[in-house]
Amino acid sequence: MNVHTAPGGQAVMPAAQTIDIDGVETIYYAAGSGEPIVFIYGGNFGSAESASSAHVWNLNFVPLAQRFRVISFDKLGQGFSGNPLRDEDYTMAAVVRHAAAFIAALKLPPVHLVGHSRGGFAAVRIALEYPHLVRSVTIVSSGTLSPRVGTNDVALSGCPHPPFTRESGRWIYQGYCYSPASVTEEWIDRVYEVLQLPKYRVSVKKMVDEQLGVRFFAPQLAKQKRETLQWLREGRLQRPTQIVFGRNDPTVATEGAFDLFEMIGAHQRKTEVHIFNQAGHFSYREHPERFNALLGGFVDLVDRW
Amino acid sequence: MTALQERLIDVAGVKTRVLSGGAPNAAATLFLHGAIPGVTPYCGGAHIWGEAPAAFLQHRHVIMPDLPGSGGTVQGAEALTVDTLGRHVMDMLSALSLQSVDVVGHDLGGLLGIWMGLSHPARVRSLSIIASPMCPPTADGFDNILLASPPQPLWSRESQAWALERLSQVHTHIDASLLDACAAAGRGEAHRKAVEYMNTSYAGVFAPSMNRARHRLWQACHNDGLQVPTQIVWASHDPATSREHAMVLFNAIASRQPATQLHVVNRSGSFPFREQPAAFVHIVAAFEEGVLRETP
Repeated sequence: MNVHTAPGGQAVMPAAQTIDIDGVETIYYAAGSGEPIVFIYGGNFGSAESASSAHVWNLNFVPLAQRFRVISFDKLGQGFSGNPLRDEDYTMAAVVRHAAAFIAALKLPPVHLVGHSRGGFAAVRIALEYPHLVRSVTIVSSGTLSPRVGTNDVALSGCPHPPFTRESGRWIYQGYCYSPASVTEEWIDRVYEVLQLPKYRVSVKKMVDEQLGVRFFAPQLAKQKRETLQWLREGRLQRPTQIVFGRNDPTVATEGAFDLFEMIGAHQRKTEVHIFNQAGHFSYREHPERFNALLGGFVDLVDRW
Repeated sequence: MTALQERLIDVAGVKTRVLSGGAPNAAATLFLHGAIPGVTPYCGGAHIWGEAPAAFLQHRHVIMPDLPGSGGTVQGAEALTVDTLGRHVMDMLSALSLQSVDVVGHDLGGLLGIWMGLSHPARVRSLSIIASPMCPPTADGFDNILLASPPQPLWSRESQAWALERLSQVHTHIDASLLDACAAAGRGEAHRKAVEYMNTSYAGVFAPSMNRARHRLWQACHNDGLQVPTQIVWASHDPATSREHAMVLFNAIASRQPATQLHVVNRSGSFPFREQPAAFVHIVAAFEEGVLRETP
């Protein structure tokens, strides 16, 4: 076992590994054996106040590695992975292509995808576009996929701290969570590491100063979102799917979980929806024991459903 | 691990039929069946659970009683109410030397689980409320026409088959073994006495006791809350209760109980443990496991 829990109960990820995906150095963590679970976190490149990375799953990755082959990787342009090589790849479509190529490169049997927020959208796109790579999909609190009004801007605007600081990261993630105490210093350490990376600063410059966010990322995502929801209504998502939302998420309405459940479940018997109380956007960090039991049980269920 | 075995135990003078088995020293899961004895047009009892509880035998101690007025348990001298049923279950746990259990309650069994959680929180490790139209608020609702015109004679095999199908989304779970068990229960002394009793006491005694149990819950939700981790498991196509009802119940309990979860099983009516047994077993087992791991 190459993962362990440090004194004080901290779940420590194994050493990072590196793989070249179409010219982009891609960082990932892998441990355990059994059914493969691939975690896809949320957010996007170019946020100056917060930054996601593969470590955000450590409370799930480490315990689940006891029963499953678990993989968490840094998406294109996020965490410690390299940035998009071309300006026009500052898009969700490029993130999805990169993620699918990464999963294919691992040469695993079809994987159980667990995608959070924008990662939930990516997970669904991978299941739609590359179904041969996917065994099941778990969508966690994804406003990007939800047809409802997203309220991130309302809940998380006006950060009182300068960008690229621990304080800005803490303020943003506390705003996302039900309990501010769930935003640990260990989590913020990882956020700050990414915010300090020169390559990450480049992605912010690209997205904000050079306006790739408004020129490419946002319009392309809007187009892809319409297409994705249409595909879900048509029954193109053909893998067992569970939808997990937090009751107290200030950025995604709970009703969106039921909208997705109805779209997908109309065509796919193996569809479930689950709501956690006292959970904001990060139910998997706020209630890891119950989240892990739910996820591990779901992966087992897919086998005998 | 042992298979489920049937026995009759004396619970404060009431001979109670209980099926139990599994890993004797493991944590216990108590399955409380639904249907209002002598009123609901199918006969409740441990038989309603079907094959699903067997999936718990390997890691759990499983307890499945016939509640007083149902199956093989004839009601005692006491009036039949939610309170007396709740007390009976607590006495049964004591008779079985069980200090605490995870409760899985369907329909009326869900309301009994709430009663237990409010009255004896230390003895309920977790509560899963399964498709229970009795638990959400009912004020100024519509009259319920779902089971308005059952074929006669009531509680015959054919009449119960009709009721079970009216309540289901998937009809294929209504097999010969279920119908045989329901028909046998309908011929039993427990059912006969319950019908007699409810003819005179449903409106004036039993229905008010359900109202009281719900009101206790709403009051608790304004004060200390339900002190038990609670999961609400509803079904996507339950003709007896809607997802909106589930949300109201979930939000009320969640306002005070941190460990509250809501789950909807797809392609199921009022019997998710029969209509989608694998999904049902997964969701109940995951909640019990998560709560156990979370407990210091």
